[in-house]
Amino acid sequence: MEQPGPELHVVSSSAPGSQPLAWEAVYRETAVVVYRFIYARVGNCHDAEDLTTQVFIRALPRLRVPAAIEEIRSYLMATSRTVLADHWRRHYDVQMTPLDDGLAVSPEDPRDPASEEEGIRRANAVLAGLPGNYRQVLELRFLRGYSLRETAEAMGVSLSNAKVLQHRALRRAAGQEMP
Amino acid sequence: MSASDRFARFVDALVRDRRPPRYPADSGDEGAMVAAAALKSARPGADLPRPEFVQELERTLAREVAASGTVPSWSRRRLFQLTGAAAAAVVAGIGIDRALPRSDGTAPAATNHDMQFTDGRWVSVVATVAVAPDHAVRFSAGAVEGFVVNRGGSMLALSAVCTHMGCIVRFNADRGSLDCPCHGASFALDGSPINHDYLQSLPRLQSRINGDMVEVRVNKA
Repeated sequence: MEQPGPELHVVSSSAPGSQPLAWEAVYRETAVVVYRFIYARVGNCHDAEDLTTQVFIRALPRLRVPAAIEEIRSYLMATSRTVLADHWRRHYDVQMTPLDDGLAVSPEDPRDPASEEEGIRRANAVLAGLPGNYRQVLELRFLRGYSLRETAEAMGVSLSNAKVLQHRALRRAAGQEMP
Repeated sequence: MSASDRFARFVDALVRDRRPPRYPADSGDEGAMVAAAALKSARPGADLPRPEFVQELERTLAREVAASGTVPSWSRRRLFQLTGAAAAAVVAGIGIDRALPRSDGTAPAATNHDMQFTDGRWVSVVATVAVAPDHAVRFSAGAVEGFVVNRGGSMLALSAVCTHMGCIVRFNADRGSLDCPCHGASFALDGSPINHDYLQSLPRLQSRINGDMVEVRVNKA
């Protein structure tokens, strides 16, 4: 369970510099959370940076501070989902429903040490449910970072076989129940 | 290229943390693409943002907020760290005139990143003879930390606040550059970044020569 976050306090603008003001605190509390949420859904830092920027630029004029941190977070998450759906539609011509999060990890507080393991735990749970060669191809590719050629050699299959295996394994992983 | 090859290239980009190619994906592959992203993010530390990115985005947002006049905003101290004095001055109500290029095509009075205090004062900071050609001399005046630079006989003044994290840059006489002691950013004597393209230039300050002295315009407070 997530603990309720602290209220963000507004500091009078007549005393600048004395305490962090609301937007500064909002950003500090949410920047990494939003980035990780998006990264888990695009899987590369280039798109994650662009989309995180879009989320904050869009949300900035619409957010009213002060507000409870959970309220702001859920607004940012909703904006993230919209931005992600736009991304997939525009660049890949596919419709992702807002809740189509696949295996993606949920946005835990990054300071919570348990969440560091969360992605790995869920990835392992997904992999464990796959047939042996599917699990192996995904482990080699994603957890060890092998190239497709290295993966093919390690598995003793041809390059094109490895390619097909990887594709089928990901489709199968996507079709599985969330662990 | 077959649909399966395109998908393989998409996956390959994720594994190498490159920007994946765009292509009209097969319907039915959406889930597999998201699964690939999720598996990639499971590698320890893979989903943590670059500190430079977090910093740069904060700087962008602080500027937007400062420009829109929204309060509450970023604290004045943080704005100084993020953007140099410019955005902080806006918040403090000093007022900075960001001169735009003139429509008649003549040279702009100032470039975009110049700092002009509309409600400022001229402060004498250093004797002209004290600034040797291709050297820079540090000064502090009002809220402004800066350098007077002699570039081939012409004087200019730059903010000394590194546009990365707000440390004070130092003049490196050997290299003829302004170097940041904190994270190694380096700026040429015209203020432009040398080794990190994503950094903003050091803001240029209004300056003039009055008699034997270089004067810089700083905030009134």
